[in-house]
Amino acid sequence: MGGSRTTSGEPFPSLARSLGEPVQEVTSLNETTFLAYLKLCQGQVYRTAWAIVGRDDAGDMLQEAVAQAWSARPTFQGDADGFRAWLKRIAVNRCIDLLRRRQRLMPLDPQRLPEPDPLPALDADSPNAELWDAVRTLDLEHRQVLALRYLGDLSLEMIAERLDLPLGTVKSRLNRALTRLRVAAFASAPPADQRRITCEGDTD
Amino acid sequence: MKETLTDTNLDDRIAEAFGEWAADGELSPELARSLRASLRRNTGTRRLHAALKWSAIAAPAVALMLVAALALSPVTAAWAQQLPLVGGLVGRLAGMRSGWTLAEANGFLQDVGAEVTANGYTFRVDSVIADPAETTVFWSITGDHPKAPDFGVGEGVLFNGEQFVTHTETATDYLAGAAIGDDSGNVVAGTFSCDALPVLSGTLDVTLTKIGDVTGSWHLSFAVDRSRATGLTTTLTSGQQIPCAGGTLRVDRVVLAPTQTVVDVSWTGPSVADGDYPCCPRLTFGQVAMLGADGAKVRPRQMSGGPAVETSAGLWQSHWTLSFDRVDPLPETLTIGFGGEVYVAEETRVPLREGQAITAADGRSLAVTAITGSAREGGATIEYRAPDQPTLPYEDWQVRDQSGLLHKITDGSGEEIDGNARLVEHWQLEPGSEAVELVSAGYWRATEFARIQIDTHR
Repeated sequence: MGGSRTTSGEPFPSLARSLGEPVQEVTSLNETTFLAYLKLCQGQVYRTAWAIVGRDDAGDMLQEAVAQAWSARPTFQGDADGFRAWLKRIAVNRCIDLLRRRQRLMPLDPQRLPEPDPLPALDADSPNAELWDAVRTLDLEHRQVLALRYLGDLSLEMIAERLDLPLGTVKSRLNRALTRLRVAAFASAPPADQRRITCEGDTD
Repeated sequence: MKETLTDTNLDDRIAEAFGEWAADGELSPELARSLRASLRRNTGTRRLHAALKWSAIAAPAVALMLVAALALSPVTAAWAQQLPLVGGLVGRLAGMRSGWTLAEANGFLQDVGAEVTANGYTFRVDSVIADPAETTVFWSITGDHPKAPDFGVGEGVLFNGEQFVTHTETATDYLAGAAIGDDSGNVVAGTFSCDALPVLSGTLDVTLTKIGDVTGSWHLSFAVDRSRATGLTTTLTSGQQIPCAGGTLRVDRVVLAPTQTVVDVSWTGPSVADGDYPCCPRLTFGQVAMLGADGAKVRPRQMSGGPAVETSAGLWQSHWTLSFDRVDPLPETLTIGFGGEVYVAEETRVPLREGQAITAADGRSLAVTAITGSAREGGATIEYRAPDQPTLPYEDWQVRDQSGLLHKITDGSGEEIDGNARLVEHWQLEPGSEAVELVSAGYWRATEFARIQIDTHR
């Protein structure tokens, strides 16, 4: 895709490609490529931030992550998938910074007030819809741990370290969250032939 | 045969659900436009979040104020023209303190425009907002890849030649990565906020001795005045206090400033665990609520507090400063509800014997199901039915030794399955000490554990 610009004057190139479509690897990001890659993953990164810090700050986290990525774009080497992972990692780090600031200075957004704008539901046809509904009922504190673990791909040790929390606290929060989700998982479990089944008496 | 959904499978499904939800993400048209504009245009965008929150009148007013502040420096202005993210910068600054809008509207945003150049760097103070709650300085540094300075709390900032700063809050992180900081820019700009000026007016001296790795002296001296803002401020020395968590919770002061409402709160009380465990309540931001007229919640802004300190009387004291938005209109009675976690000393005591079961004060049963190691260095597994109510009485365990001294748990972990909690706590005592008892001196979470009402018309 090189450094070509679209001729329509549209700020973003009109992208026919999807995330699954191979994108030519580039050695570093020029502006056009940056914007193209960004458009592919901005919604995903936004929702990642949303799950961690809440909707009110998710837009800021996205903008900060984009700003940081923009600044560091000469150092980036990779394709669209790599960019998505890179931007998500930056965004997760910015979110963690925000959570730490909340802990230290406890600024604007009240962490434990009722979530004013809970996570939207998944499509009703999704096999994970009910499980996701259980996620949506979690308070922000427990949801954050889940989001950092499953969206941010952070280990519990890393979450504890980055948030300055005792590991036991993180484990406890995760376990409390998982306890609720187990019920939903049972209720919405996929067909038995798609599950890993264990039986009482199994030695495996 | 009983089917069991394994945790591995649950792990996969949660990851899948999160992934599915994130993959469906789309920016709202407004958010997409703001992000695009902030990247593509040189001027005029607002902070994303602010764009969603602010009134149509307030946001442009603040943006104008800050554009003006930046534009005071030709170098800064030239730099700003080249920045794709300058709109984000301006919006970001604007978003830091909504009270800045009122400062401009009430005429106490003071233009300074002082600058000094040395060793290749120009340090500039563009403007100041001073009121009885806080002093905020808008600064910038231009030069070759400047780094944000450390204003500190020492001699770097003086008022009438005297130190007065006990705390600072330097807002620079919002610039990080915005192509203007360490990476490629020639300007770094931000704000730093510190204590209120001790008296109404005088001279503020700001001295930098280091910018990045470059040492030197950048000294600015300029007049500041908070009299106009002070005229619009009411300070209540409340002194209102109530018994709380074995001690006394007291509202020391309420400052009703034009830009914010500041409440100083302290708690004084005894300690446990041989002085090692101050048992002061832990306020939780978001659960400290100020109720204004008609019981409406006043938006909290920030909360700070130092660690508990031991007084000469052997008590422990904790202090917090809470700030909220301006209370408008001001009710006759201002109500503050304090929520968070309250320490309950020795709520549960369990002799350290395997199989030992006790019933806690709230009727829940608890059992020590396993003990490992020795009485000096060992561990215990504790199981109990997890409470439905939002309290956490069993999460802060200690052990008592044969001399009656309490010791912290050195390492602990826990899990909860189907409402049954299992904690594993480890201790490591000094030679000669042996653990004989487990003690939960836990914090209980409470949405509101105290409420104080303040008469605002005294």
